[in-house]
Amino acid sequence: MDNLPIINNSQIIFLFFKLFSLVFSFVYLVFSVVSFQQTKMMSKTIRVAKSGILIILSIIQLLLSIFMFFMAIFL
Amino acid sequence: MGKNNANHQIFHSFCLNPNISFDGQDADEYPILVLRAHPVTQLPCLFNSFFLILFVLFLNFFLPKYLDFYQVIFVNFFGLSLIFSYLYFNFMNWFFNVGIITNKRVLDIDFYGLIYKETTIATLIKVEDITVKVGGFFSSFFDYGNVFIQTAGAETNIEFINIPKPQEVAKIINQLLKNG
Repeated sequence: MDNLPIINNSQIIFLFFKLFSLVFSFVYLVFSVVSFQQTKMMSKTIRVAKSGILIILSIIQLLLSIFMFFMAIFL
Repeated sequence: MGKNNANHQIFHSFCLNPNISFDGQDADEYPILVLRAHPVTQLPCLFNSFFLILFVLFLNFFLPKYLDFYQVIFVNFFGLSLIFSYLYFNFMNWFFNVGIITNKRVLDIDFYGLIYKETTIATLIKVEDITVKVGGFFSSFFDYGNVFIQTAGAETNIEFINIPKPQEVAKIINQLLKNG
């Protein structure tokens, strides 16, 4: 028992944080991809003059989620 | 009612002769009225976002005790991204859940969540009965309500929920039926 590495409180918090940030950022990434696809489909169903803005917003969301995912990996 | 002189009212929730087209539109068909939910019905989403932003800011008083600087930045960034997505998702739901009245048909296009789409179409000839329902303080004050369009036979009835000026919508459909 004495040879087991001692894990202190800060390490436990770090591990939990790493795990949750990875899981949630991955879920967010999947959501953003689906959201991007859906926006494209919606824009084809109802064609309005400024639908390009909505596509740009969905791309921003997708980029944000990719950034969050990489941030979670290298944090 | 011509194709031109588009008239967008109440933050594009009541658009007369709009310049839009939709999937399955006939060559000689043009939209006369496009309806979305009244913007007032979206206020809860804005309030929720506001309080969520306050909550994220509030967390900053406690998080530095337990997390390092980069982790706090991540939590803030992640929280704000989620709020942005929540707002975006609600806006998309509002923007693409439309009722369209053309010179030939009545369409109700609904998107539920992210992956489910429902389109209900009825030709004007099949429209039998129109019911307008306005109830409650906010509905009366801001003039919005529901319009139910009953169609002949086994066809699905069409519902426009929380749309502005429901009486005027019913009047326009009646006018089209008389002209048709």
